[in-house]
Order: sequence, then C-alpha cells, then structure tokens
Amino acid sequence: MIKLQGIEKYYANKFVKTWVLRNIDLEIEEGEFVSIMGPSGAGKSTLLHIIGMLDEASDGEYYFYDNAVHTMKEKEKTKLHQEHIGFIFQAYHLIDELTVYENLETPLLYKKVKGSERKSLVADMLDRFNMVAKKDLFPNQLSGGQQQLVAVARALIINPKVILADEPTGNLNSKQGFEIMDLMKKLNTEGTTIIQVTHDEQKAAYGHRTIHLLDGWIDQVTTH
Amino acid sequence: MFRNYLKTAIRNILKNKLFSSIHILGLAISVAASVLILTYVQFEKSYDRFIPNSERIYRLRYERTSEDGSAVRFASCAPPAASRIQGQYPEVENIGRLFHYENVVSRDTRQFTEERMFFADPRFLEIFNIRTIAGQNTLSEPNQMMISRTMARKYFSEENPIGQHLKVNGKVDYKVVGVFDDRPQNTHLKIDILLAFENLLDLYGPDYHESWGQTGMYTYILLKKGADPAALEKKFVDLVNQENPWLAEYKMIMELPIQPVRDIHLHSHFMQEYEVNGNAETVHILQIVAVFIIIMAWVNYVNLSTARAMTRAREIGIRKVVGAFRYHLIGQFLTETAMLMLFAILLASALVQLALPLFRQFTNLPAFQIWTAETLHLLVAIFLVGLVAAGVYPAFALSSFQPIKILRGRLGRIPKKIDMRKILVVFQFVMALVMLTGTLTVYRQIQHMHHQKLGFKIDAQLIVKGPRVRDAEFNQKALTFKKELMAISGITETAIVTEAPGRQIYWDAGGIRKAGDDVSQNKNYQIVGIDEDFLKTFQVELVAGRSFSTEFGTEEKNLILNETAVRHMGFENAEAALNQQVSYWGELFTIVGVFKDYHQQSPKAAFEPHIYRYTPTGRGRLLQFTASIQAHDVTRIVNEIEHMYREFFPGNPFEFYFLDDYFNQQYKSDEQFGKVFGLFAFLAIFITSLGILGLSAFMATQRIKEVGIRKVLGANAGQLAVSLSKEVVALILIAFIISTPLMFFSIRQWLQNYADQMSVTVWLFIPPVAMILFITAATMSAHVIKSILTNPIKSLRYE
Repeated sequence: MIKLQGIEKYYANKFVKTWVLRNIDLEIEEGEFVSIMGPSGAGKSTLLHIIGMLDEASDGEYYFYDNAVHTMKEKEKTKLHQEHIGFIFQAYHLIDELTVYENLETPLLYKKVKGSERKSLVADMLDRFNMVAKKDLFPNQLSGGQQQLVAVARALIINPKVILADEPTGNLNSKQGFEIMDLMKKLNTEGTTIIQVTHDEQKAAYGHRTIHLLDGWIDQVTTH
Repeated sequence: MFRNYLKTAIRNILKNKLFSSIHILGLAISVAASVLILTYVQFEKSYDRFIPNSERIYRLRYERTSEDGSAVRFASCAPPAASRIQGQYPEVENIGRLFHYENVVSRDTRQFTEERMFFADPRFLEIFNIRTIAGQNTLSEPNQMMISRTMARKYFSEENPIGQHLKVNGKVDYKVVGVFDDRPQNTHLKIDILLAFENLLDLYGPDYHESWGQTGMYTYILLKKGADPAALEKKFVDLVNQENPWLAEYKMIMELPIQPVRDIHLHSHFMQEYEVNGNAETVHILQIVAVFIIIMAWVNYVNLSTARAMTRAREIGIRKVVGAFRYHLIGQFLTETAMLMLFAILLASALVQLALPLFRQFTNLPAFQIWTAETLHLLVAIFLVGLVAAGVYPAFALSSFQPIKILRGRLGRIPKKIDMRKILVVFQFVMALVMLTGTLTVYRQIQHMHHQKLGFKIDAQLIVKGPRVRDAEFNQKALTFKKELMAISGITETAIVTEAPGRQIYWDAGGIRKAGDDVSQNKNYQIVGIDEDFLKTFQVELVAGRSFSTEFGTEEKNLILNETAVRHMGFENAEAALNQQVSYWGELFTIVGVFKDYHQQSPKAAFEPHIYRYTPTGRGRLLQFTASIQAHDVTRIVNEIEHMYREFFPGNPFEFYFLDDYFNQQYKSDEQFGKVFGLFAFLAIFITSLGILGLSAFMATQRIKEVGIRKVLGANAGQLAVSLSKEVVALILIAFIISTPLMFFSIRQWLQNYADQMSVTVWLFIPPVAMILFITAATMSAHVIKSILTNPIKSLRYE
C-alpha cells in the first residue's frame, strides 16, 4: 500500500545542509498498524508528513497504491490525500470557530459530498462516538479527550484507507489516552491502516511493528 | 459549502471586534466620503447632457487676434453670425440666438431684478428643446414671454399666469404665453424668463445686429449627424473674411470657434461667460483624491488581513489537512472580505444619507441629486473592485501557507509578506502627507492672497446698484442722489463708478492705440467709468499726473490709465504717458494721469490694462453708487439710503452690498476647494491611524516575547519604546522623502493658476510630517505602553 524507497529529507541553506531523514526504505501493507518511535529530532513527524503528502521528500521515491507520489503535482496530491488519508494531531487542531457538527462536516464539504449524504454521515459519526448531545458545542467547550475524539471522528468521516496520528495522546491524561488507543485498535481491526508517531513504548505496543528512528536513519524495527 | 464560509466569516468578524470594526469603519467612512465627492464630480460632468442631442449642440464663439498675438476670446458671438450661417452650410441643422438681459421685472407693486432673463429666438427654443407645461412652445410674436414654474409662482402665486402680463424695465409689457418646468441645476444656461427676440431688435438697432465688432450674442448650433465640427470651423474663416474685408488692413484675425455644449461648464473660461464655470482641474483632483481615499482603506484591509495571518494560520493548516484545495480557502477568504465590504457599504450608504446636509453646508456645494442610478452603480463598482483589489492578495497570501509548518507550531514570522506590508504602509503615509501638505498649501495661498495689499479701500464701503428703470431726467437725478447721500450722517465719501473692484470688468473695448501708431497696434483694454470722487473714495494711488476734476470742464476727452495699460500701450513709464494722445475708436483722447495698479479681481488674476474714462453719471446700464461709511450704525445708514433711493428711482428694487463681502466672494471657490481637500486630508489621516492602530496592536502581541527578553536583559521603558517605534518612524521618514519632491512640483504646478503666488518654503512640508509623527505616536502609545508594562514572566512562560 505504501512504499518508500531511499527517501531523504534535508534543509539546505548557503552554508549547511541539515539532514532530517536518511535513506528510508519502508513498506506498509493495507490493514497494518505501525508505530514510529525515536528521540526528539529523529525525523518521526517529518516521515509521517511525507507519508501524509503534507511534506515533500528531497530525494527518493514514494508509491501510494502504485501511484508515484514523488512525481505528482500539488493538486493531484491534495486529491489523493483528500480521498484516502485522515490525520490526527497531538493538539487536536479543531477549527475554533466551528461547532462539533461543523468540524465533522468540513472534510465532506471539501469532498463535495451531497447535503443529505453529509447529514447522515455526520449523524452516524456523532452516534458512533456518543457525541450527539455535544454537536452544537464549540471546541473550547470540550475537554481535551473529547476534542481528540472529535478529531478522530473528523479523520474517519471520509472513510480513509489510512489514518496518520502524530502523538495523538500526547496532550491527554492516561485514562483518556488509553481510550483513544483502544479506539484506534478497534478501527484497525475493522480494516483501517494506522500509522502513529509516539514516545510511549506502551502505546507503540498497540501496533504490529515499531519503526525506531535515530538521527534520520531507521535504527531498528521490532514486531509485536 | 458557502454556508460554511459564511458561518466562519461571521464568527470571525464577531470574534475579532477591534479588527472588524477598524475594517468596517475605515471602509465605510472612506466609501461614504468618496461617494459624496464622486457624486459631485459626476454632477459637474453631467452638465447639459440631459438636453436631447446635446452631443450635436455646439456654441459658436468669437475671437479676435492682433498682429502682436494679443487676443480677445469671447464666449458669445458677433450678432450677425447666426443669420449669415443659417441655411448656408449643409452641416448645420439649426442655429439659434440668445441674449442675456438682466433687468427689473414688475407686476403691480412687486418688482425684482431678474438675472436669469434672456431674449431667445425661436430656433434657440427648438435646439434646446424647451417644452412648456402650460401654454405655447414658441415666442412667435413681439411682447411675448415664457417663464419658469418658479417665476410663475413668484409673480402670480396661485393664479393662472397664461395670458397675464409682466412689465420689464418699467416700460414694456410682455404677455406670458408659456410656462416651462424649472431648468435642471446642471446646465450652463440657467433660464428663468425668455422674451421674444423681436423686442431685442427694438432695444438695440441694426447697428448692433449687423456689427461684426460687437459680441454678446450667445449663438448655438445643432449640427447634422456625422458632421465634422473642425471642418465647419475652417469654413467659417472664409465667411468672416468675406464679411470683414477690413481685417487684412488692420492685420487682425477674426475667428468663430465652436465648442461642444457639454464641455462648456468645465472647460470654458472666456470673456462674457454667462456664469462662472466650473474648473475641470479641481474636479479632476477631487476625483483622484476620492479614489485614493478608497484605495487607502483597501490598503488597510490588505495590511491588517495579512498581519492577522498568524492567527488564521492554524485554521488554514487544519482545513488543508482535512482536504481543502487551495481554491476552497481562496473562496473562503473572499467570502469573508465580501461580507466585510458589504457591511461597510451598507454603513457607508447610511453615512452618506446622514452626512449629506452637513457636507453640503460645509462645502457649499450646490444641492445635487445624490441617489441616482449612477450612485448605485458606483457602490456596486466599489464593492466589486474592492473585493478584487483588497480581497485577492490576502486570500492568495493566506491560502499559500504550508499546513505542516503551521501545525507543528513553528510558524515564527511570516517572511516576505512583511515587505509588502511595509510598502503599503509607506503608501498610506505618502497619501496622508500629500493630502496634508496640499491642504496646507491651499490655505496658505488663500491667506497669502488675503494679505496682499489690494491697492484700494475695501472696508466700510457700501455699494448701491444703479437703477435700471430710468426716465428722461435720470442723469440729473443720479447727480443729485449722489450729492444728497453726503447729507446722510455717517457717509464720508461718495462716488459713481461703472465697476467697483470684485470681478472681471465687462466693459471691454478693442481698437485702442497710441495716437500715431499703425492700426495693427490696436489692442483691447478694460474700461472703467469714474467720476471726480473715485480717487478719494477708493483711495487709489496716483502715480503720475492728476485724477479727474470738475475744475477742468473738458474731462470727457481725457483718459487715465493704470500702470499695466501704460506698458500695454507701449510707453516707457507713467511720466512718459502723460499728455500723450490715444486713438480710441477713431477719436483722440489725452492721457492726464496714471493710477497705480490695484486688484480689480482677487490676486489670483493678473493685473489687466485699465482705461478710466470720465462718466460722472455712469454709462448706460452700468452704474454703482459707492459710499464710504462709518462702520457703526450701518442699519440706520442703509435705511436712510433705501428711503432716499425709493423716492428718487421708483420702480426699481433697492439692492446693495458691502465691497469686502462682494470682493471676498472671489475666494469662495478656492476656499471650497481647500475645505473639501482638508476634509479628505482629515479622512486620510483617520484611515491611516486606524491602520496604524491595527498594526500596532498586532505588532505588540507579536513582539511581546521580544519585549519580555529585553526587559529581562535590563532594558528600561524608554529603550523599549524606541525599539518598538523605530520601524514606524523609519517608514514615515521614507514616506516623507517620497512625498516631498512629489508635492513640491505639484504645488509649483498648482500655483501657476495664480498671478500672485506665495513662496514655497519648508514650512509647507515640515508641519504635516510632524503632525503625522505625533498622531502615529499617539495611536501607537497605548499598545507600546501596554507591552512595556507587561510582566516578562507572563509573556515568556507561554513558550
């Protein structure tokens, strides 16, 4: 499903070249749950962003379902991203000016989903996450855990092939954190591919395998 | 989708009250001001366009040029022109005449001087399509008249005016045969009363009507469709030369230029214009300024929106991550801009309505229609252009952010965009400086003119208009009246003069030269008829010779010149002109004295050559009694004069004015221009301040960390204030460097309109920049002080 070959990432100015990712080869199959770990600055988030098509590799090849992402134009990438990828962030990143309902609706609007279908999709999602009563609240009226729940729901609503989660539990207390992890596990068993970045061994263990990054290189890969 | 945009837009507007109100208020005020001015500009440009076929109507003028190139250019034409042209040229569909006749109109005991009265030939009525609402459309017989609706009410109130009579000049009865609707404001020909042309033939005989040397006949031509006016003008050269074989001998050129009737109001400034026309340059400047005011508000919008990009960046990032294409975001920001602009324009419309009476009072502009289809088009245009001009750049700039940088929280400063913003801020400061300097210039120049020595006594001078309705003993009566004025206590001097200072002299004569000179040296002079008391009453300075006096008895053949006339006639100096002879229409006159030049018109106009003739009882219709009075007790003096006047000149309305008021009217258009310009300058500063307020609020939050670090490092309040305001001061100075040469040359250009110019000094440029610095400092101070006073621990802990 996802195939990275010799991916490199660096930032260059006149004097120095700062390496972020070095020669990454990685294949992820559909239905996998992969964790990425490593110390600060190891390149975890950058890797995730490249996979999510939010960032570009400086070098190397990236195939998503046999589509050569590294040769694509911005528009095509956005299209692919819009269709198949859901994102979850540590800081939830909901739109403050929109209600829970509207936040969930937004990705569908961009996908030009029809009004009636949109309504039923949002309603399903609210049901599934037990948030019907909260649909008219704004993000700042929710707890962190609730906000992250909305963020997960928003990522799921387009029915993505893969969910990319960047330290999804980083801002949550441990109870809330495990709830989110359980939810992700459940999603995975239902067929969604999941790639998460985490600092936490325990949370990494939810995945089938863990990629350890160090200074931009893949240091080791462990399977659970 | 659109609803989602709208919701975010409204919530964003409500959430950021300071920014939103700056945006909306700034836009609304500037749009309102611009609409007011552009509507006025529109009005000025609309003159005479309402007349059917106005694009084919032309005015035939008259010009005469001497061998030395000196020329007289009239708005009116020679009387015979129309009859010679009628029917002779295939291009001419119709040609009609109009003759201005200001005189007293009376009905029983009601009498008024009517200034807007004309003799009109039937063809004029056809060309201008004057349609009556009652009675007939033509003046086919002598002693017929048509009057406007207002006149009908004035003289006949509720009665039916048709068939009734009005007396003109105390003698001639005219029958009202038609009433026409009041003419619109936007025509150069403001007509209240039209008289049958036949009566003009009685008033001025064939001498006038057959003379190519006379003017005063307004002549209008309706051209056939597709006719070439320039070609026709050339044909008239032959006509004129055929009719006037003497021109070659006098080495003179006579021309009959034609001008489009639509151009008269703004572009025609000739002798004998029926009214003082508008000024195309002023209208042009106002138009530019109005447009710039709107642009400034748009610039604010662009500035503040991009400045606020940081706060919107997260939202942009999220939207991109959840699948927004760039065009989605552009659409969203444009929707937001559109909403704000819509609010602003609605508010602006309300402001226009509210401010209109004040604006009119302040500027003295005529009461023109404001809510026309054009105004609505203008508002729509402002909305659409604003959306593109002010909305597109921020939309593109904001939507270009890369989500990943934003969402990782490492946005920092947004590079590049800042430079654009600086350029825009500099642009605003330049505009504000230009407007302020411009206002200051206009006011200084008016001041300068006010402070000029005019060369005659202007204070406490009462002018009584001479009577128009006269009997056979008029001359004797006039002299007695003058003598008896002196008996009124409080009146110290009296004089009879044909033209007191205060406007261009209408008595203009060509064909005047030094005796012995060739006829080709004939030139034009302005003639003032005065009596022996002129010098004393007006306290004009005598440069050489003497003034007129009753001691000599034969003054009718003597002349006095002013200094300009001395040069114009070719004398070395005033002394050299004394006792020399002047050939004036074939008669010889002797120069007995020279007056120092005085300002007949405002110092805006150059001195013109004057010839003073001895006319102790005035000349024809021209006569003004001047009385120098003691300033206290004015009411009693006026009452006594009025009483006496009514006894002496029954059938005439008593009309008087004070010389200073009358003279100062000439500054009116400059003052009006200054006021409007000043208003805009104020607005420009206001809008700039709003922008500065928004930007400094933004900068204060953006630099709160920097201030914290500086404080921890030991900076005191003064050092912090300097570091926070350094940048803005630099921008102001850059603006000053740009605006100064720009204004220097513009001011020099503008001053060309004035014969008497003030000197351009640094004091036109320093006060505006000082004011801008002060206002900016005041605007920024609240935010600067706030960020200085913030406890550094607070601001740094957020990291």
